[in-house]
Parts: sequence; C-alpha cells; structure tokens
Amino acid sequence: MAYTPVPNLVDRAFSLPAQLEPAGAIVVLAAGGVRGDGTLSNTSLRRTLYGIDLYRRGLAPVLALSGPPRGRAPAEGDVRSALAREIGVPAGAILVETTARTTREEAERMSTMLRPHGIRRVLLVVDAEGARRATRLFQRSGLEPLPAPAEDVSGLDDSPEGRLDLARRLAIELFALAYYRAAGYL
Amino acid sequence: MYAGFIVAVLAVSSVLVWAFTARRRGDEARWRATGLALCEFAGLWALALIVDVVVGVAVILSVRAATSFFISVYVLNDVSLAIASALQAFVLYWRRHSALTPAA
Repeated sequence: MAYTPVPNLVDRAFSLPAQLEPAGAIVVLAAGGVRGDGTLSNTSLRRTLYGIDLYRRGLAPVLALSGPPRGRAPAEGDVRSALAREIGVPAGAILVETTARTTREEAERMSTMLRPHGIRRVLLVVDAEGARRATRLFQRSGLEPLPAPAEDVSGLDDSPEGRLDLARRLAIELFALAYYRAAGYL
Repeated sequence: MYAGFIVAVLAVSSVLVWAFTARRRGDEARWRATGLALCEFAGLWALALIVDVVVGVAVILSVRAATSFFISVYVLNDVSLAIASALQAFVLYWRRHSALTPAA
C-alpha cells in the first residue's frame, strides 16, 4: 500500500471538494487539541490559520472556533481565539465553543450558538477526509455547511510514509463513518 | 520517485541476503516456506491490530456509556499500537510454531 498510489486515489474519491462561497460564519472544527506547552497541535494550527485566511478574504463576518480543554491544558477553542485576535481578527467577530468533545456534539452546539444570530450557511473548516461526515452532521443540525477542507494531501504526498499516514487517516474516517451510521447519527 | 527508490533498495538488499545465504542447491523449498511464514506473520499482525482496535473502541464506548468520563477514540490513533500489535503477532506466531515443533 505504501508503494502504490492507491491511498491517494481512494482519498481523492472519498474527499469532498472545497466549496468556497460567501457564508454567515466560518466554523473551524477541533483537531488534535493543545500540546503540553500550551501551543496548538500542528493540525489544529493549520485549520485555525486557514479559517483566519478565509475570514480575511471576506468570505464570512464571523469566525467560530471549536475545541474543548484536554487534561490540564487550556481549551483548544480559547487558544485558537487568542491566536486569531493576535493576528488581527476583531474579538467581536469571534465565537468560541469549548464544550463539544465529538464532531456530532460540535454540530449540535455550533447550530445552537449560530442560529440565534440568524446564521445558517457556514464554511466548514475540516480535513478533506472528514468533510463528508462533518457536512452531513451539520446538515442534520439545521445548518447549511459548505466544505472548506483545510488540507488536501491526496495528490501531494507520494512518499511511502506519507501514503501510510494517508491510509491511516482514511481508515479512521471510514471507521468513524461506519460507527456514526450504525449509531444513527447520520 | 521516493517509493521506487525505496523498493529498489529493498530489492537489492534482499538479493544480497539471498546470495549470501543460499549456499547450496535445493534451497527453493526453504525459500518458499520462508515466504509463507512471512505471509502468515503479516496476517497475524493485521489480525492483532484489528483485535486491538476493536477491543479499544469497545472499552472506550463502554466507559462513555457507563460513566461520565470521556475518552476520545482518537487515543487509538497512535503508531505505538501498530508496533505493539506486531510484537503480539510475533508471540502468537512463535507460540503456534513452537507448539507444532516436537520437543527434542
């Protein structure tokens, strides 16, 4: 598997393409949390910066950041919010959700947080592999999500180690999709 | 590109090992048996990894259902689990074959 392009092809077929259109908010889903030194994990940092980039491109007036605390570390959403403010996003444009621990809970709580503001259409910042499941969950929660994958590595990573990592990410997402379907969440 | 280079390195080192160890004619049967053993070990490794993941998910979901304690399923997304599964597969393989081999 590591020496063939099979993981890249499967990933390309499985991932949703980006649909970058004006929306009411940019929702950045949690990813990897906060490291022991209080900084964001690599995946979380990448997603946060991409969400900030979309905000600065004027695609939405609100940046909604998600991420619960883990152990003694501060909440991922709070660390993301501090980073966004440091980079220049106005505090009034940032909403933070720090209680959701799963993608399903994120969809429910983001919907509860955004709909009173009259926001339904959201740009959903998530990994390419997770976009399919997250989009369905947000649709079920009453929002209108537009996938905005923070990274699409299907065509970039052709090293054997990268392909193994890609295969692992796909396996995790396929497992999660099967579990969510079996549990009736999708 | 990278993949091709690594496959070439593995091919060359395998041929070198074969050249140094295949000292007499009639070794083909042993090489066949070695290939089968490799396949058997790989299968056991995959099986051990699947069992580990299934047990891990079952425990996590049970803890979530029975208590207010939350454990993320992503804790299983750790490369050490794959390495430990390989060690489990080795133990299974060794036990299976030592049971089949008559004691001296």
